[in-house]
Amino acid sequence: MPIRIANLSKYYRKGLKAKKRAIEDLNLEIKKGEVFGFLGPNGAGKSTVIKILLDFIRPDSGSITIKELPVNEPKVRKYIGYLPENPFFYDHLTAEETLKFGGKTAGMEKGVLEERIDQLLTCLNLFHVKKQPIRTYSKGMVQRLGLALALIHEPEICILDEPMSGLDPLGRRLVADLILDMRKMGKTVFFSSHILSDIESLCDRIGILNEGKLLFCGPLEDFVEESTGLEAAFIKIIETDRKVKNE
Amino acid sequence: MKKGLIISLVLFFLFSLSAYLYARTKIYDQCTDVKEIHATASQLPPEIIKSLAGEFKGIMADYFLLEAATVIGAQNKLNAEDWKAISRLFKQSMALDPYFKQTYSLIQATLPWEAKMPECAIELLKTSSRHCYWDWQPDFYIGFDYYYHLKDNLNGSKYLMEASKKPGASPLLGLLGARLSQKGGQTKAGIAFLRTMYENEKNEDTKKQIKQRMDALEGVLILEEAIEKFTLNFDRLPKNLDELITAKILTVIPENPYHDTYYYDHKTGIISYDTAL
Amino acid sequence: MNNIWLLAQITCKEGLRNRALLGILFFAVLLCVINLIFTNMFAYDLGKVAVEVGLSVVSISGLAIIFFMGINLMAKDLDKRTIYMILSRPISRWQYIVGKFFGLGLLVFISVIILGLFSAGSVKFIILTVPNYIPPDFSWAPFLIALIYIFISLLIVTSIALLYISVTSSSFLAMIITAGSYFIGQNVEIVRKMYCQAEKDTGNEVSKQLVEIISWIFPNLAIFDLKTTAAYGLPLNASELIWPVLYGISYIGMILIIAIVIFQRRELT
Repeated sequence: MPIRIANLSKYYRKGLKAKKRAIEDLNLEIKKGEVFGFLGPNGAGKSTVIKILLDFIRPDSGSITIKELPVNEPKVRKYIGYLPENPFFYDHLTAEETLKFGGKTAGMEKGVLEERIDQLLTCLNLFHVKKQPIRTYSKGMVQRLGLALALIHEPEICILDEPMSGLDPLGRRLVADLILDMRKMGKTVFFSSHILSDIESLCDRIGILNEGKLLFCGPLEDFVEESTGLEAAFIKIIETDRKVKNE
Repeated sequence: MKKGLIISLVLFFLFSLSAYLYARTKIYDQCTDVKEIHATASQLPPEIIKSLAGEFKGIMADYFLLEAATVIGAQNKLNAEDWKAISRLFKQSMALDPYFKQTYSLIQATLPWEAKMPECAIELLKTSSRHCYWDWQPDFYIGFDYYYHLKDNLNGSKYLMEASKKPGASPLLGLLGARLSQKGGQTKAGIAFLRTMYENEKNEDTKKQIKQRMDALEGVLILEEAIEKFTLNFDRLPKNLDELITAKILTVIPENPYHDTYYYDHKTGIISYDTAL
Repeated sequence: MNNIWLLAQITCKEGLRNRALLGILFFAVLLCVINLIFTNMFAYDLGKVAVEVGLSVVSISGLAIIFFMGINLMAKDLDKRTIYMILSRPISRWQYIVGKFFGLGLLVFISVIILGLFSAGSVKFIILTVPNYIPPDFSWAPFLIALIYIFISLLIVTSIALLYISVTSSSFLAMIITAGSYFIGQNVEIVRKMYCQAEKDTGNEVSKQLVEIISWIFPNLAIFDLKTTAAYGLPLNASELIWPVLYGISYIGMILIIAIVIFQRRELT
């Protein structure tokens, strides 16, 4: 099982004593080869879950494994390609140098790596700026470079935090095609997004998070009623949950 | 954290710690066995240091002075290089803060005596005197140095007079100034000088040093007077100091607080408490 | 291990391409040129002045690089989240700290070499033009050793900066504390000696203990200052040279380990 999250909880300290619940008792399993969409309103905890998967944040309880390995082992990340929400790079390096770093640290061979860099940059429409420093890039180009860095080592699992943010429609189509390609190649994709139309077109299963709790997890078809569509269903489930909480 | 990582970190830490402790003991001196601290003073001219110090002149002045004081206090024997560096530190400290009493006190306590640099002391003291118009001591020290170390009675007298004009000066200073023009009586004047310094000094350590010098000079005086008596009686200079005892002029040779005995040159009849003076 | 070297490489590259580095180096080279003019203001021991100023330039520039660039390079990682780019690879936290340290160390090393050459150049020029004013025992070996020692003391400051950055991500705070540690490190020896020699116990047992404790925690940077020795060509005891090196390296090791432990537990929100 590529990603397995069991009984995950994370609290943040608020002031001296109060604990604010960020994630509460989350159970989630991502199957191999599927595209899983992670939805939720702002502040629901989506980024937190992703950061825990990458060992940036440590959970207070629960066990998280990727390919049956605990996430706090660095070698796990050899199988993961990560795209953060707003990727930042060392501005004075070039795309080529950054990708070389990414590939070499993941253990790629030099020849293979160079080929892959060219291939990936061409695919993402960045080949013409391969040797320019990243500080000259536009926001869309930075985002695409982030994607390139996530994919350079051909990981089995891709974890993308808002991959479409900041991209123009052309860029969004590019990324969508890439995700579909990945599914075709049997890779697992786990991404979080606000853009429901993308979720609808790309995902096999979805999970909906609100205030740290998983409200729904399952195939897309099961969630969306024919007449209303994803957006309406989404808003409905969130509002119901909020009403329940306020009672 | 993984167990393996923890263990290797702990091991590395212990290893580094032991290396650190070992190296440290090799470098550091025992408290009682201080290796030579050499005075290091920057070569920059004082004016540049002044501008570099900016608003922190006072602190820098204190720092230079402390450095000088540490080196002086650390050892008994400092060579000429060290004294040159120390005098440079004094100069720099003076340039940054010419009003500081501690500076000129320390200068007077060390430069004319052990360092044998009375001219340097005088030059520095003149800066103090210029700035501390309320303080009679710098001029007093200058006068003393001219008179005692440089044997220049004229300038000695001049500066003593200057000192006597400043507020708080003892009226005796005028008298001392006058006395200087008198030939001979050098030792007596020196003792009188030192007594004034002794009475005005607040610092216990410096007081002790002044007292030591006073005792030394008083011993010299006793011997000088004894030699004079001897010369009057026997029409020649005594061959050595013991002759004074056998001639029953003295019952005992006074003790030299600095060395084993007083040094007597039987050719010139001069007594000194230090071989070099 | 490869990861450490890769990280060091990109850290160093990023620093080298930063314009601020050019600024610092340019300024330092300028100072070396001024050194030549400056030295003529003295009547004696010109060679000594040239060496002292030259080595001081290397030291000051090294510190400027650490404070203005080095700390930024690390703080930026945490502030602007560039660290995600690194830690999303199969790199462990301790490799990150060590890699960063080597990267910054490499940066400092390059600047020490460049400035050392310029500084040596200005000294050589003076030796050639006014040979009468060189201290008789001057030779290049002490100069080189003084440079090495400067490099080691800069590495110590770098490791301290790394430690404080892993505790706080504010570059300003880290800069201040590191600067304070540097200042303490330079002066701890002389203060300790002063206290050690106080013959009378002026009731300051507490201060004495405090000074002793501080001298154990903070590095004694003054032992790495060989400027006067290099300037005069004073004799160096070869067997004694190794102890400060061992001291420095072991201190750096301990600091890095503490930094690793702290950073290992840090949450990167």
